[in-house]
Order: sequence, then structure tokens, then C-alpha cells
Amino acid sequence: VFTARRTAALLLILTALLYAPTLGYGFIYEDRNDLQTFARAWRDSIETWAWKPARSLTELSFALGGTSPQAAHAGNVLIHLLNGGLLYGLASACLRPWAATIALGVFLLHPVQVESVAYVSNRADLLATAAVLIGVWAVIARRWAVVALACVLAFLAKETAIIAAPLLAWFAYWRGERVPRAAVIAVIVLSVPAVTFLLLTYPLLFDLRNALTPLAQLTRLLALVAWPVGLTIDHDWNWITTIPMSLTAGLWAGVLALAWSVQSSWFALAAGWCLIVIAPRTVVSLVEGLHEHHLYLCLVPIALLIGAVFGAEREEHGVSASPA
Amino acid sequence: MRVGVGWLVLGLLAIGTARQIPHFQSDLALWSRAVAVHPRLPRPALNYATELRKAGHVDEALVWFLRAAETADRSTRAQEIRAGVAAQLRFLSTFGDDVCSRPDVQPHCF
Repeated sequence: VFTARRTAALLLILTALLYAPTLGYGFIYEDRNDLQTFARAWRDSIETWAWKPARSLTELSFALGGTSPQAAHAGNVLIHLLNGGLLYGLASACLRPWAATIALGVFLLHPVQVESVAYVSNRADLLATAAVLIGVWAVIARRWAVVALACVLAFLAKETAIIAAPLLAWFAYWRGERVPRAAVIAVIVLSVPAVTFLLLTYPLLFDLRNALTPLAQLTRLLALVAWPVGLTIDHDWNWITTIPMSLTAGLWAGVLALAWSVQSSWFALAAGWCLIVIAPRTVVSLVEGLHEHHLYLCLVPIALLIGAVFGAEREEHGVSASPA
Repeated sequence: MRVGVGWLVLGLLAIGTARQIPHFQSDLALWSRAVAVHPRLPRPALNYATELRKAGHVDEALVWFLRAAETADRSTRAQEIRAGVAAQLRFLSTFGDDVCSRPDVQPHCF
């Protein structure tokens, strides 16, 4: 009765039920400002032709979905479920059926995801992840035009999702895909205006301490993934993260060395993926540190990695998850 | 066996999520949780105090305003925290008890 696919459907239903109470919640903290600002920004950009690309997809989603708390919360839950569905499709192509279902469960049900889903202001992370997952699918299907479109959509959802292009490039390399030169050029050309926009918005800061701080914060957040106790809406991460810089550098040097030695493994995919996700924060000066919701995109390969622990990769469908 | 362990893990994660979601019910619930986890951080303290003040729990709010002021240096936005505490304390003094006349509170009112 409980096939892997039916159980996956049940996990989606369970997730919807778990998050159902949020539909009765109001706005919290920055929600009111963000929603009004985003909805107004979209309207203003149309009226004044002052369109700013980054976050405009998020602004549009709020403008379309309405600014009532119920609509906003429902939107977040629906996008989380959509992301779960996309991840399950990906996991099913690479892992044994039950392992794929467990990967889906980890992504949908991990407590560290609550901040992204239950806190409306984090809509941008959900949308950017949806775009990246579509891009991952497109890499597997070798639809390079869709890959380029996914990169654009990710950037339209959130500024730091400019990493979608290197992320998908890393995924393609990891799978051993031979990416056509035209696709590489297209992504580079599309990235130029996005990079220019970011450089004009945020000053670059080349400083070793600035580069290591997000790594230390990422280490702390990954520890919360492994042992999700003491989760809260986090701020002042610079203070919370007491991991010494030398230890951080040594730890991640070890992770990179291990990942390099097992390039075809899910561990290598996850390590490279997470480092690419936080890369923008190592070169620009941001007052805020990494928060739990910044892990939402990282949970994609982590869920796959955990799923892989519970079932070897499948070969019978002719889909090899390892590099050629 | 391994899949069984997987289900156990998923069960624990689902319980964790079910327990985590109610913390996002309201600002008071959110910051109450934040100060429970990180009692020595200024921004959760300031935001929790503000919510307590709004809920009418002035005495308890005052304790957390002072905690926020004392720990402000731990924040990357220390100036902002101090300004926030001062504004809230002055609001209390204007519309309620004159807390800013108290010696322990006065330094944080300006």
C-alpha cells in the first residue's frame, strides 16, 4: 500500500497540515514593511518605469497574491510544497525510490526550514530556490535555454541568487555534463548586467576576516541542520558564532580537500553548493550575518546527500548522478 | 533497517517543525522564543521588550530594555539598538510611569 511515491505524496500532505496553522497567523516583524514595500515597489516601477531587477519577481508575487496575511502565508507554503515536488523529481531521477522519499522528507520537514516558510518576508529565498531547482531539472534535461531562464528568474527573486549560474555550472560539472559553449556565453552575457547592478548597489570588500565570517556562520548553521536544537529567528550572528577564524579556515580546507578527493559524491555536491551559495557574502560588506533562511537553498543538496545515505544511486533508469 | 532509521529521523524532524512553527504566530511569541534561546543578545531583548510594552507588561518590559542597553555592544548595530531603547524608554516616560527619572534607567534614555 505504501509505495515510495504514495509516501512522498503523504509527506507533501503532512507538510501542508503542519504549516496549515500559519494561515491563521498575522504578519510578524519585518513582514508589514516588506510586503507593503514590495507590493508598492512593483506598482511604482510600472508607473514610473523605474524597474529594478533584483527582487522584482518577489515583488510581483506579493502584488499578485495580495497583502493579506492569509494569502501571503498560503503563498509561502505553496511555494515550499512546489519546491519539495521539484526536489522529489530530481531525487527520483538519481536515488532509489525510498531514498528519494527520505530526501523529500528532510527538505520539507526539517525545522530549520520553518523560518523560510512561516516568516512571509523570506518569500525571496523560496522563489530563488524554485528557480534554481527548475534550472537543475533543465541541466539534467539538457535544456540550456531553460537553464539561462532559470538563472534570470533566480536573480529576479533575490539579489544574492546571482549565484544561480555558478551553482548550475557546478551541478552540470558534477554530473559530468558537457555544456555547449553557446549556453556558457549566454549565461555570462546575462550575468553581466546583474553583476554590474550588484557592484553598484553593494561595495566590494576584500578582507580575509570578512570572507571567513560568513564561513564561520555557515558552519554554525550547518551544525543546526545536524542537530536542530535552539532554533529561533536569529540575529547578531557575528556574536553567536564563536568559532575561531583559524578553526573555520582549517575546517573548510579539510572539507574542500575531502570533497576534491571524492568529486563524484553527494558530499562534494553539497559542500561546493553551500560554498557557492554564501560566496557573495564573502566579498561584499553586509551588516547582517547569515540567518537560518539563508540555508533554504543549501538544504537541496543536503537533503539529497541524506537521502543518498539511505539508498544507493539508481542505475536502471540510465540516469547516473556521478560525473562521467 | 536503514530506511527504518530514515523514517525515525523524519519523524523527529516533523516533531521539531511542529514545535517550531508556533514561534512565528506573533511578534510576542517570536521574540519570547528569541530571548529564551539567546538571553544575552540585544536585538531580541529590545524587540521582546517592545512587544511586552505593547502588551501592557511595563515592569517586565523595563527589565528587557535595560538588558538590551547593557548588551548593545554585542550587536553590529549597537547605535541603532541604543537609539531604539532610548526612544522606547522616553515613550514609556511620556505616556506612563516616568521611568527615565530612575537612576538606573536615566543613562539609557538619551
